[in-house]
Amino acid sequence: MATVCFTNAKLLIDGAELSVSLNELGIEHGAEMLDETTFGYDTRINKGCLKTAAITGGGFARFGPGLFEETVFSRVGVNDTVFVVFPDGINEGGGPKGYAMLGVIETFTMGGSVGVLLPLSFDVQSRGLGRP
Amino acid sequence: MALVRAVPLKDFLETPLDETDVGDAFSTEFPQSGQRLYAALHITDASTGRVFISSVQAASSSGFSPLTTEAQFALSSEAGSTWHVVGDPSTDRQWRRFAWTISTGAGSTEGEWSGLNWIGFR
Repeated sequence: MATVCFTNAKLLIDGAELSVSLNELGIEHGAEMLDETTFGYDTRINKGCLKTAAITGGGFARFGPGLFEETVFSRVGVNDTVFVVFPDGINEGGGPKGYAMLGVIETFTMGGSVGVLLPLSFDVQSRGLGRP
Repeated sequence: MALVRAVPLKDFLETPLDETDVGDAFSTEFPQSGQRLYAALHITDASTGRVFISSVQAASSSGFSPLTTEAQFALSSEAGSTWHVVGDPSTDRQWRRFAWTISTGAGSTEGEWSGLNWIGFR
């Protein structure tokens, strides 16, 4: 499959689609490493354990009900907010697939130098995928 | 698990839904034994006065006869989202689609909904 020119990312937070306000978006998925090295090895032996995930994004602040500022500000610290990120548009039944999680907004950051378009950025930490 | 890869079943963000129907059927992967189905509905714009009920349907053939309702959503009159986890999705059904009914409320026959439905297995 061809490489992707990163121009059509989509982000939904609950009932808000925010891509029109964003100019950067990222998702990080990892596993915590545990050290199970014992004598006899000459290399650090790592074991993957708990998974982690985070979403970061930023753009230009837009004010009003359901818009970027209100959507993020009102959900800071709200557990089990629904997030889904699509790196290259939304394609029914096909790919690239999106990435979804239940999460909680950790930070809401706004402000910059005089004369710029008011920037707004946020960080999200995962709360996993829930249980049946 | 922290993340699930999401496959959109119905994108109605730009083309709202205003009458009962079903979406296109897609041949998704067969869930492996032990995997869960995750599904969510995001409603970005809703109509009051009418009731919107939707679900993810699964079947072993594209004709969806018979079919199984794997996740049902009850979002109705306001924007928001809902998340479903199905602990034992059918491992012999690979066809899935989004289905919805729009019922007329008292004195109202107008209205439309915008949003997105996706599913994923992990």
